[in-house]
Amino acid sequence: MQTASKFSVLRVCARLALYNLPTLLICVALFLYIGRAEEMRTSLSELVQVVGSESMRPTIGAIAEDFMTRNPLADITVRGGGSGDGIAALLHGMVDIAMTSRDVTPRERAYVSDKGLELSMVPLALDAVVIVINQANPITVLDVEQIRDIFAGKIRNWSELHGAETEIVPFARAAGSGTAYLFGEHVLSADSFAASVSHLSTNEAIVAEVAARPGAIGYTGRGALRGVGNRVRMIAIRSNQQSPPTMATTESIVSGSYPLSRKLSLVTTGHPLATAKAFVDFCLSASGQGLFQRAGYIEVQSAAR
Amino acid sequence: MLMRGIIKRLTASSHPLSLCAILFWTFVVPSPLQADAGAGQLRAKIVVGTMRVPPFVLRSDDGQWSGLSIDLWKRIAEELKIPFEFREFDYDLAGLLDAVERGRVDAVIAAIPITQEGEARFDFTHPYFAAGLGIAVRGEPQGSLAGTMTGLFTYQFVVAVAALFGLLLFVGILIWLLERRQKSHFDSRPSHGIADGVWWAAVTMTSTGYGDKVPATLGGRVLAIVWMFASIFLVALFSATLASSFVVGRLKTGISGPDDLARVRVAAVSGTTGEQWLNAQGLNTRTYPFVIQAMKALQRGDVQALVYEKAILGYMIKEYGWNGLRVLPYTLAVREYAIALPNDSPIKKSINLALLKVIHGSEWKDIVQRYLGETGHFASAD
Repeated sequence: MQTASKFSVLRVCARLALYNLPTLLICVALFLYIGRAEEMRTSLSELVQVVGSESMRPTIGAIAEDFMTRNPLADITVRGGGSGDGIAALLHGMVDIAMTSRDVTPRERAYVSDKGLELSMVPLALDAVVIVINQANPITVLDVEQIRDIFAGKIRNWSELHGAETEIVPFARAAGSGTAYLFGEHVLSADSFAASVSHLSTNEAIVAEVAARPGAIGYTGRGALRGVGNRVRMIAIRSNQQSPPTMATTESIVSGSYPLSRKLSLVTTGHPLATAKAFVDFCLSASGQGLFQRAGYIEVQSAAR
Repeated sequence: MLMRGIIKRLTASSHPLSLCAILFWTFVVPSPLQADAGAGQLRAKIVVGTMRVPPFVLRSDDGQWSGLSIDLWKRIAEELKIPFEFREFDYDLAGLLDAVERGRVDAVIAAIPITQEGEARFDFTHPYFAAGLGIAVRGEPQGSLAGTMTGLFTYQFVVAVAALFGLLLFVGILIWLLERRQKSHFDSRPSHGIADGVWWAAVTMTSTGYGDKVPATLGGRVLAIVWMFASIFLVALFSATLASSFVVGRLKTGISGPDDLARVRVAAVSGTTGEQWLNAQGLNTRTYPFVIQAMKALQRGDVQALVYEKAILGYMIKEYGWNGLRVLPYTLAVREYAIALPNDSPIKKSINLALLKVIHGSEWKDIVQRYLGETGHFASAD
């Protein structure tokens, strides 16, 4: 009796399953469809294209690698080409994110708002160029124009700047680095380097040379001065003769009173897609900011504190 | 003084007729160049107005200009041996066109299409580029067995089969509800009875008509009549859907020209000529706010084609690594780009000569390909 009823229960179940096969099929099809749509919506599987500033490219590239290790389905490509072309590509809808080491110009903003969109700019880090001289040199302050004259070869002796009777030996970074670009843009502007300027390829080389020669002057990224100790001395800078001299401190760079600094930002239009937004957030996270710090920049996180 | 310097260089390299033209303009007609020089703004070089328009005009952060139009201008200037400088009008098309109309710049090269309104305000050289809409599609997939199988079982196919089974079940339940009390052909137990109903619905639908299950009630017979005739349409619809799903599955890459757009889903970018063109053709269009989103949809397979500015499609595929996509060798809604000059410009003739020489030269094809990739049919507007 017991076995018979068990058997019939099984048989009824089997029949029910068989007869409801069509319903089952429909459910499976529906489930697959919804599942696929849901996967598209929730997982960070998007392709994200980032284009812009050459000096940001290595750091953003490293952050993208890190991001993709954590989100294996995401595909982030980072390309250079310059801030201007990056913003242009963004405004023409050709990329998701632009990297820029300058502000968005009013004309660029107007172009976007004419299309009924808005730009959102997320600062990630700050970059500053510091001027270093030999420890033995008594000079403490220079204005931007004096620095320009030194590197353009118009001022050749420290005595012209009320210093010692020593010939000035200027050191510059080789063209192509962000530091060299910032110096060229903010200090040198229209002038070009004098023949007496030696071009070195790393910040470390500049520190070493300036530490070794009493008459030397050079510029490096601020990050390079970590752990240098007393080998070289950083001087304060004035925008012009009237303005107060400013040292490159985190505060002065963040407030913008230090003249030789720039902001590194990501720009997106309107509402970025989920993966793009997640990537921007990741750049602001501890791991992203850590990579900026390692590259010698000032993280915005520490700037906010 | 300056004008004569430029003229000397121009005449050295161009057709003798252009010399006459230039002399005529120099001495008889007050040229905009002279007018400006007279106003105290002495020009040591030809001033060329331009604005950033990827991929025609690009500029790196250290101020280096590049791009298709810029490269053309550099070659023209080289040909004519004239010194020049670029003046930037980024994102200010109105200002740029105004400048050339008033002669504040000697030429404008960016991505300026030849239009009636433009011709009324200033002058155009010969066209150097046939711009227009292009069609981007996914490249050829690998011919693997798994690929072919998954191609066969398209989403459309699965939905059609599921709908068929659903309908059979629905009719089966209905007929059982109507007939269950008769206890003759349809079992009164739900599980057996519904199975009988589904069996009857399938036998009737395919007009097999075994006659082993026969409705006896009035309601059952009304349902039977409705189902019989509805089945004729449904079977036709089902076969058609199935057939088309197989065809689309197999001919995924079958978009070889504009004529094929009608049978696939096409993407466009909202507010562009591409969208207008597709709407005018009455084509099934899905719009996206930015071209990159449309490209992603195309890559995912949400759409089978994308209609957008051909030059930008080519540039994006080449420069931003959209490896799975390619642009078909057709240009729709053609617009011709030319250099804009102030009215009665003394340098028009020599620029035209140099322009034709450059775009008919062998190097020009390489330049076009460098910026736009292998998009084909990108010869000059001839």
